[in-house]
Amino acid sequence: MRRHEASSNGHDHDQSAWDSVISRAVETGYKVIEDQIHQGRHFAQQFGATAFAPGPDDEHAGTDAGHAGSELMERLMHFYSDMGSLCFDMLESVARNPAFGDLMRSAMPAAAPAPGQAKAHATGPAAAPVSIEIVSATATGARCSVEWLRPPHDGALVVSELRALDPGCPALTQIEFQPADGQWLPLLRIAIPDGQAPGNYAGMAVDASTNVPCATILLEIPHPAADTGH
Amino acid sequence: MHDAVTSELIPEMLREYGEVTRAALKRYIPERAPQRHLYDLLADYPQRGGKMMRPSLCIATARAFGARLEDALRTAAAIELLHNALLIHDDIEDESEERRGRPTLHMLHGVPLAINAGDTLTLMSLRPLMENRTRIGPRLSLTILEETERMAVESAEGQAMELGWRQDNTNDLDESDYLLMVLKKTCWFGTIFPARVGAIIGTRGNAKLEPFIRFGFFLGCAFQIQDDLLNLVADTSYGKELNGDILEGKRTLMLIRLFERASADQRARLDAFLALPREQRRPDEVAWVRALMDQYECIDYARRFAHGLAGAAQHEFDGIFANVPDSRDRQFIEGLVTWVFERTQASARAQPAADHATDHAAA
Repeated sequence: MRRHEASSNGHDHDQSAWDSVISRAVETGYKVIEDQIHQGRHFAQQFGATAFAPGPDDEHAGTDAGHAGSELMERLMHFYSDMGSLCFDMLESVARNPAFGDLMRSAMPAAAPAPGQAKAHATGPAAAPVSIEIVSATATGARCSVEWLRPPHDGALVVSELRALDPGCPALTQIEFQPADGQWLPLLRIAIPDGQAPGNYAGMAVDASTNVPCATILLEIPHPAADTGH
Repeated sequence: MHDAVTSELIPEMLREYGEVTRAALKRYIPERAPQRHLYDLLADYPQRGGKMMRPSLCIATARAFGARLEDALRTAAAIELLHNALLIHDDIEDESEERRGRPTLHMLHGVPLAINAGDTLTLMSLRPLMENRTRIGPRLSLTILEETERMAVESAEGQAMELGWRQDNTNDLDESDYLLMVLKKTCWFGTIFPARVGAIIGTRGNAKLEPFIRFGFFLGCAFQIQDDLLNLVADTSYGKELNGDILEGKRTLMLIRLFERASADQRARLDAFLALPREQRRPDEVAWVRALMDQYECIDYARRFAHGLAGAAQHEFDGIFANVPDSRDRQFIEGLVTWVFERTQASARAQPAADHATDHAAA
């Protein structure tokens, strides 16, 4: 709140006083905005702790990662099913993956164990976490699956274009991999252009550092008549 | 950037991106019954024009980071739908009688229908945000929806702060209080949110978003102060009644500075003036407050203050865009920092349909 400046009249500013106004503006501005950013971070941490993960003092911390994963999955499914059948298909295909439980546990902040407790490890060749995003305005029944051969060495993958059996069919080239970011799983993103021919497409994901194959990617674009929606 | 470049580029790009956004907007406002009591009302404010700074900043930021215009268009349309929704509700809350040179929606159609139109526009802004999924994917769409929710909460908090100050006749305010209110009420929706969602789209979610809060804050605050200054020095062609903010009792930086500098007797008289209902505030008292602002150099003070904030905005821009290739869109975003002060009386006259309200519409 305000301080009052004693002044017999208003015309007592010299140049340095005016310059100090600019400094005052910058100083006050940064103080206000840094306070707000700090509060925003604090709020985000609190929100993340209550919404996605047990706190470090929770009784079941570290052992309840599956529950936290389920909760996140439920939230995502709810959101995505509200958004439309395309997205629902996408997440459904991820959820059906038997490796999903391991994937969620290995990727979720909730999986961080409390001190002294064993960390939940994803094991086996199917343990690399990834979610799949299919972007298309028309191919709403498209389905994608990932068959894991081995997890990537440092989490980074390079993904090839997806090709159809028919050599005359254009390949899907808008495909990318994004590493994990905060609460998000790593993302495999495939964009299907309008007019892309129906059929089965396949490609390979290789370790970005070693070029060793890590997974095969299969995408099915159904014929329009076969797209019954959800 | 040279001023000449700024003065030509900014209006040019606002027109260009404004036109494509308006065209996209039409898809979301249906022409069907109940036309007269709903959809005509929804189309009214967008048809009156406006600077279109929010959608332009969103599109320009997305493009500066490499996106295509179409990637940002739905988000830009959503921003404009929501902006017009807030204008309708702001006009009711502020009891405003004019918007963009014509009677406000509630003056034309009554408060109940205007509130319903504002509610509808708010909800309709969700449609393009959900449609984003077919263009930029579900993950980025969800991130933008989360950004929208945060922005909406911040804006509502800012609006509540200012309305509360007026309702309680709170005058013991300092510059931090003022900047915090402007951050929430104006900057989040006016500059921070459009730039952040533009960056999310342009970088496919890989941008560090915190610096955009700083950039948008300093830019938006400089913008708001300049807008408030114009209300005290521009003529009526600017779009609002000269000294209208004093009449409304709006807590501007100039008024806060005046309370800081005035004598105890003068502060008591100011306090009594602001405690009166708006219709009882006499023109001679408004003139007295305005003269006092001159006496204590509150106008010059606020102008310097705004220049300081604009300098900080430029500093933040340099940090964010240091490695972004030069482009028309990058120049546009940088140019906004100096354009803040080019919106003089003359430029205001050249944009009769622009938003000159100082509510959520300052930018």
